[in-house]
Amino acid sequence: MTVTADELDKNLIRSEVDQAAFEAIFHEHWPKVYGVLFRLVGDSAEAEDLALETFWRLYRRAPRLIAANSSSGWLYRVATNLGLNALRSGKRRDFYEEQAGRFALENNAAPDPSLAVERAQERERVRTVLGKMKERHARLLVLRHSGLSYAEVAAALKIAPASVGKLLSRAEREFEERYGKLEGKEDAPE
Amino acid sequence: MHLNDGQLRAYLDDDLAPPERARAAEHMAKCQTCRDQRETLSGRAAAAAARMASLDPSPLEARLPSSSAYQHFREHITRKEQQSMLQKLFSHQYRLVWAALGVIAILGIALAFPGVRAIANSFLGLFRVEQFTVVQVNPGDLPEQLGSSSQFEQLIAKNVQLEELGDPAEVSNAEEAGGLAGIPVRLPSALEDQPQLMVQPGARASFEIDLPLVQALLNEIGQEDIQLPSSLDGATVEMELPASVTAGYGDCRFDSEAARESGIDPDDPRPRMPDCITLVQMPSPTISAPPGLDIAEVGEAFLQVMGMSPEEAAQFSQTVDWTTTLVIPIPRYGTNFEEVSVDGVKGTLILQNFDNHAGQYLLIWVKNDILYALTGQGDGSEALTIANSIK
Repeated sequence: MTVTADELDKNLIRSEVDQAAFEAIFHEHWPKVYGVLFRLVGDSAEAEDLALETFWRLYRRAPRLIAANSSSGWLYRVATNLGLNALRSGKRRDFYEEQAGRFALENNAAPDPSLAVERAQERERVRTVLGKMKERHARLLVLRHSGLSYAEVAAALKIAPASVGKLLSRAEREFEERYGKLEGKEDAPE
Repeated sequence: MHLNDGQLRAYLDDDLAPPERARAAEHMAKCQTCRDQRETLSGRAAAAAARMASLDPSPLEARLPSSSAYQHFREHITRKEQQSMLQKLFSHQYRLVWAALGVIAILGIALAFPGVRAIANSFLGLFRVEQFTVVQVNPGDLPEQLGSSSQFEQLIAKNVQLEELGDPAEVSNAEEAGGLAGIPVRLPSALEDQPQLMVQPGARASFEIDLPLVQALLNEIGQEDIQLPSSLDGATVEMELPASVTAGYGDCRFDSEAARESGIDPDDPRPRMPDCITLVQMPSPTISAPPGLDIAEVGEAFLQVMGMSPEEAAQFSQTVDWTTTLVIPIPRYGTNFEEVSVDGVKGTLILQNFDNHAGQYLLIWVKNDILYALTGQGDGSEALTIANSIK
């Protein structure tokens, strides 16, 4: 029996969670869910909080999904929702310097401070672009680059696996265009 | 026919089924256009991949091992369950009153009809709040949706009618507020700021109990052995909630409409409006229920659903006059409460007790048929000082 996410969203009544099944799902997906959120928010503590929140929602709201062992699409959908919301919330508009400082701090092995600044700037630009992109495109890029297969990405985005290639090529084009525009703006004289 | 971008892109990721992949390779071998397009897509994909790679966590940013993460998760669950309950309790406006009344009215009335039992003498014709009492429960035992769903009544009733008698209005002084709400508005003199005054309109609600829905709900929460008489199906319950006046001091944002519409996330761990003190006053809401109800029985079932054992519930039930007492469930952990003398009457002070930061207080009392609820952040002495200065 398969249960669609929509049916589950409507299923408000909590039934008993299958603990063992949930724990297995947790261990299987934790690394990638964290990876997706880290890429979107760029801060390990925040990424961990959001990842915990993602699993908590699964635990509380979708016990049948756990039982049916069909939760991965749901998990990555919720994770990208939370991550994109955090990314766009405005709280994240840190200055490059702060980011660079944190980056240097968290990676005190980094030998070259200017390299750290450069990397922090690049991260900021990429996140800015993701925040402006069509949501589906942004989700797709992040999920794909977090190591999800075409089939996993398709489940998370609720699309046919055969459409992933098409959507991905569009997403990459949008990414390229927006990134180029952003760079153009930064280079333009005041 | 040329290969489309989707096929080419999947080809690059080696994600075409083998026969399709073979056909694609064969076609490209003789088609310059498709080879060119493949190169374009490949370049773009590589560029995006290089940019995206900057987001990869460095070794020091890498994830916790999933075993430690799972430990954190267990702690997260405990914290969340306490928070969601506390927040419901300490939320502003009369959401509290609504939630408690709703639970009593809907759940209690629906659940507690004894199966084959002679109709007792004490019927609930009308329920009116004359006093509050507090009961401690384990939030972990509480079915989540009972407390947090704004559509809770939809789970057990049909023909739910909710009529709001007017719109919320912001007014400039106590007289105006009192005139709109139809009660004498009293304000604390201990607070010198000019309060923000809101009048919430009254509302009327009625619904028909839907027995099959109730039974399904009972089954979900493991109370399937409670039998309900078939005559209960379709019984109508009516609630009347009078207009209320909320006075806000400090940094209060009364966008209750928006809040209601967005159904404030009960799971949001951030404290709402920490620098806001509110005083809500309203006449007692009333509930008319179908005749033939043993109210003590109702109360016991309500307590059991809130996580009490049948024995505890029976014992507590005997100490309460259910026709006049609004019983407020609070979590056993993270919260204290005490009886206090306030405004010349007996009141109840509920305090959050967090180890690391100041919690909120909620002080409730009933005087001259008016319900008062004072909330703010800090300890109880501040609450009492404010409450005792009300004129």
